[in-house]
Parts: sequence; structure tokens; C-alpha cells
Amino acid sequence: MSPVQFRPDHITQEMLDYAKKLGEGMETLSNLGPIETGVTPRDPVYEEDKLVLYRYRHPNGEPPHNPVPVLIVYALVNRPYMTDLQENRSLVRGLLDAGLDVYLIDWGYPDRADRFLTLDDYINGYINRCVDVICRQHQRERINVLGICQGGTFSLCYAAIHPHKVNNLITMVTPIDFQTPDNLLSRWAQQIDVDLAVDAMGNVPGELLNWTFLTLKPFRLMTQKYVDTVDILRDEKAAKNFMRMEKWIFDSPDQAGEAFREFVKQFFQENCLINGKARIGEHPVKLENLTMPVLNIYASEDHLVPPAASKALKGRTGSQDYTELAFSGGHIGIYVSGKAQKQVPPAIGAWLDDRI
Amino acid sequence: MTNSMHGQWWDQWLRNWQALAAPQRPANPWAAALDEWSRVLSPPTPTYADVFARMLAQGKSFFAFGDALGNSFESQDKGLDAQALFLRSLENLKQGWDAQLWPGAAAPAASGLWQLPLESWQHTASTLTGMSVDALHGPGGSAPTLPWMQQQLERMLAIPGLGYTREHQEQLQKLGSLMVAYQKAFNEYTVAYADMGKRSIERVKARLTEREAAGEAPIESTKALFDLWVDCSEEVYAEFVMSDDYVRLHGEMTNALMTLKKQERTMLDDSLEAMNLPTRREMDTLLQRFQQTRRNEKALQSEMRALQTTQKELQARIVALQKSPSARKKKKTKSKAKKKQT
Repeated sequence: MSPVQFRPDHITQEMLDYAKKLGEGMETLSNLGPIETGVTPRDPVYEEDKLVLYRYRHPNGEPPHNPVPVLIVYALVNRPYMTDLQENRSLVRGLLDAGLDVYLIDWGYPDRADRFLTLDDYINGYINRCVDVICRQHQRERINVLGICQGGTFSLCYAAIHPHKVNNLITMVTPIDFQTPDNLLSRWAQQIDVDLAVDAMGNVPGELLNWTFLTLKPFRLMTQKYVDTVDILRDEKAAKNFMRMEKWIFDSPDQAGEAFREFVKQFFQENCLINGKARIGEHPVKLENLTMPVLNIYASEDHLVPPAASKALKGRTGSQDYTELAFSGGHIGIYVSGKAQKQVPPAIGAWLDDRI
Repeated sequence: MTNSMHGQWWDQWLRNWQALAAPQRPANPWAAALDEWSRVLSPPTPTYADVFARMLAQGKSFFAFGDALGNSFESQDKGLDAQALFLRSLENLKQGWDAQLWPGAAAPAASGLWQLPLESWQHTASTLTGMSVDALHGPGGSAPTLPWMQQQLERMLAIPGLGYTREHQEQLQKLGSLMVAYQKAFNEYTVAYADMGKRSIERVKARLTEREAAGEAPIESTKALFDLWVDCSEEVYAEFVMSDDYVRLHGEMTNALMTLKKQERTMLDDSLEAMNLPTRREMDTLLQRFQQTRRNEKALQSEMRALQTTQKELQARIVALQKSPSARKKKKTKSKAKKKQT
């Protein structure tokens, strides 16, 4: 039997159906209205340059049962509203429901005035001052820090340099070993002259990074996704969910040139976190200084940060209390999938409750 | 979408439907219909225009499959074996990729799938340099410039500059040379991409043969075949992009673009300086100094806060000491001594 059996009338019907769905999808999009993200009420508690530190309000007005606040440190390469995309897909909401007092750093959109911000400025400057603000507000000496992706690497560095200010450290989809054999981004970065790139561009445009991320799986992310979406566009709710995600994917801030240069060189090209040579400003970063309890969460199908890149933390910290949590899903699914809502925030809440 | 727009759209679809049966139908009637449709309609709202454009573009890739299959059926009507025709159409597609490498050749319809990452790069590179896609990559977009043209251009750019404007000429020649170097790097990248495209067709053929051997149900829809194509393309792509060859090509293309961009900046700064306007170099110097001043200010603020805290602690300790019984006793003794003196 032939492996391909097409009937002209079926194919024609399929084409017509597709075109019809596309037309209906266009109508749905026309009526969709603005797409809102970042749904949980919050208040700005500290601002500096383009950074805003937010504290989230508990939806039911109940006080958090865990007295130690949690600071979420998100990556620079995308916008942090991924953690609070919509009501039923919100890591932030899940953490609030788990009884935590949640703060988040929004880095804003760097422009040319931020060109010379270094990793030292971000980690020992911005993050440190945010931690100080929260400590003062809660009259505590240390708080919990939850770092996501690149923000996880920042949090690791911060906690290793300032261990006395971090009660518990949680890393989510965080690269530690940047040169595992399956790390495509790292492979590509090896031949890039990052000094030349930063000298030429100043800040690194978000558009360029976007191209890089999309070309990790170009046919699925640039083509198949849109062909498949036509099937769901008739449903306004599904269309809104899709558009929210699209908004986030293409909402890529430019990267401050110096910080980008340092990050690519120290981590992607020289793998300094693993070999103990990382330095943030004047401070060496030693993973063995991570003496606080550590919860390391990774996604088993992560194509951006391979699980092995995250799992490399095991056995390298100075902590007597190291826990790993594997989430069965991808780099984005870990924040937004239905399964993640049920598994990840409650697990974080319970782990922190055991370590007040 | 208004009713009249709907009407126009369906009319167009009907015309294309009829065109399928016509003796001289367009090469890709479904894709052509989608083109026509997108021309008739404006995007739903500015917010979604970009997403819808992507859907339309990918819809065209999908329709290209339908068109390719339609072409096969024409021959099938003439009594040829369907599977042989399908495999032949895949072979034609593969050969089309070779033709695509040279200017003027029409790209095979289904190669749109493989062109997208390249087109996307061209757009990004064009935005970065401020040059149009054609100016930066040569006319025809992804079609590599012929080697002899590049050689001629390189020879022209090697002519030494003379006279008062010598330095300016040299800068322009350098820019031209760097542009040629970028185009060469981009061409190598494009050739590698085309090669990956051909291998993806081989993979599709192999996968179909495996299905047949395993007695699996035949593929009966365009979408199923499209998904298989995407799977095979991703597989081939994943294998190649991890290779040393790809890492080198990717690095060379990116670095060549950055060298070109840097030269552009140098020339722009020189022009600004000649006009007595602030340059990027000067702005960078100022921003660097400003950033250092900000760091110093933050460090001072932090030290001041620490000193204030210490001061408050000391004051509190002094007050506590003053209130302590021993301090009060001392105070009493002192006042008694004072009284005695008086």
C-alpha cells in the first residue's frame, strides 16, 4: 500500500476548511480587544532607574502564613509577566495561594543610557538593594529568593556573595553548567565575538535574541505553531490565551551591553560558575558559599536550559539541605501549563514552610 | 471582517477553485488565493497585525503543499502511478533547492518552510545595519551573489584611494569590503541551509518508506504530511546545528555582520564629528562616566545608611547606659560632690 494516499476532493476540502478557519480566526481577532497580562494586583514598593520592585496583594486579603517574604528574580531577556500571565496560569497567584508574601523585580526596558550596566550593577547593586528594602520593610535580616532562568543564575551569584541575606534559595529552570553537550545556545555562543558584537551594537537588540531563541526550533516555532493555531482561533478564550503568549514571546527588551558581554563570556563561553572562576564586580562567586537550603527546580523537556545544565548544581553547593524537583514539561510550561499550576507553587510553598 | 470583505474573499476562492480545473492555472493557486485574500483585507487591529501576518505567511507554506499535491493529481488523472508521482514531486523539490541557490531561479513552493528562518535573519540584519534587505544581501533576498560578481567587486574595492578625500575613500572601500565579506558568510550559511532542506526531503522519503514497511496507515491529509515534513525538518536541523560546521558558519555570519555594523558606526561618528555634532563615541564616554558616578553615589548612600544605623545603635546604647542603675549612682555621686564644692 502506498504510504501517501490523497484524494483530490479531500485535499481541496481540506484547503477550503483551512481558509475558512483562517477567515473565522481573523474575525475572532478583530473582536478580541486588548490583551492583558500581569493579572494579580500589586503595589510598587521601590523604584530605581528602570527597575520597579512590586509586592503582590493576596487576592482574598488574607495575610501570608509564611512570615519570610519571597523575592522573584526574573531573567533580563524576557518580561516577568510570564509569572503572572493570566488568572488560571500564574506562578505568582499560586505562591500567594500557598501562603507566601511575594515580591518581584521588574527590570523594565533598558535603553542606551543603561549601556554600561554591568552584572555587578545588576546583582550587587539592584538585587542587593531590593533585598535590603524588603528586609527593612519586614524587619528581617534575610529573605527567600526565587530565581528564574537567567534570573536564577543571578540569584545563585547573589546568594553565594551575600549568603547572610538569603534564608532559602529556589532556582527554577536555571543554567549552572552552561556547556552540557545538549546546550544549543552555548554551542552557538562559542564562536561569537561578543566583544565585537557589544562594541558594534551598544545594547543587544531584543529582536536579535528573539531570532536566536526561535531558531532553536524554527519549523515548530515559526511555522507549525501558526498553522496549528488556525484550528483554535474560533474559540475566543483559546485565541486570547494564544495571543497572550505571543505578546510575551515577542516582548523582548534590549540587553544592556556590558552585562550581556559579561554574561556570555563568563557563563556561556568560559563556564565560570562551574569552574569556580566567576566574578561579579570585586566578588568571587563560589558555589560552596551557598550554605542555605536550596530547592532546584528544572523542566525535563526544557529545550532552552537542558535539565543537565540545571542538575549540575547538585553536589556543588555548601548546603546540607539540597532538594531537586523535576517538572515534566518545557521551559515555558513550567509557569503556564495547567499541570504546573497544580504542582510547582504548592511544592515551593510546602518546601519553604518546612524551612521557616 | 465586514460582509463585503467576506464576499470578496469567497469570490476569490471560487475563482481559484475554478482555476484548478482550468488548462492554464497559476503555479500555486491556493497560495495565490491566500495572497489575494490578504491584499483584500486589512489586518484586524494593529495589535494583532503582526500575528496575523505570520499566520498568513505560514498558511501559504501550508497551501504550497496543497498546490504541490494538486500538481501530482493532474498527472494522476492521466493514468500515472500516484506513489511514483509523489516521490517524483519530492525529487523535483529537491532539485529545486539547487536552482534556488542561483539568482533568477524560482524557489520551490514548499521550500518556504526552510526560507523562513533565513528571511527572518535578513530582516534582523537589515534592521541592525539600517540597510535594506536587498542592499545588504544582494537583490533576490536569499539568493547568493555569484562568485565572479563578488570577485569583481573585491578587485574594485582594492583600488587605492588618491587625493584629498583619500581617507574618506578608504573608509568607504572598507565598508564595501566588509559588506562583501558579510555577503560571502551569508552565502555560505544559505548554501548550508539549502543542503539541510534537501536532506529534510530525503528524511521525509525515508520516513514514508519506513511507514510503508511497518504497514502503518497511509497519510491521507495535507496537514498530516505537513506535520511529518516539520518533524523531519526539525530532526535534520537539530543534527546540523549542533555540528562544528554550523557553529562556524553561524559565528562567521554573525561576526561579519557585527564588523560591518562597527564600521558603519565609525563612519557615522566621523561624519557627525565633521559637522560638530555629538558622536556615539562621546556619548559612550559620558555614559560610562555617568554610570561610575551613579555607582559611587549608591556606595556612599549605602555607607551613609550604615553609619546612620550605627549612630542610632550607639545613641540607644548611650541612653540605655544613662538609665542603668550604675550610671544613676555615678550621677548622684557627681552631684553630691558638686554640692560639697559649692
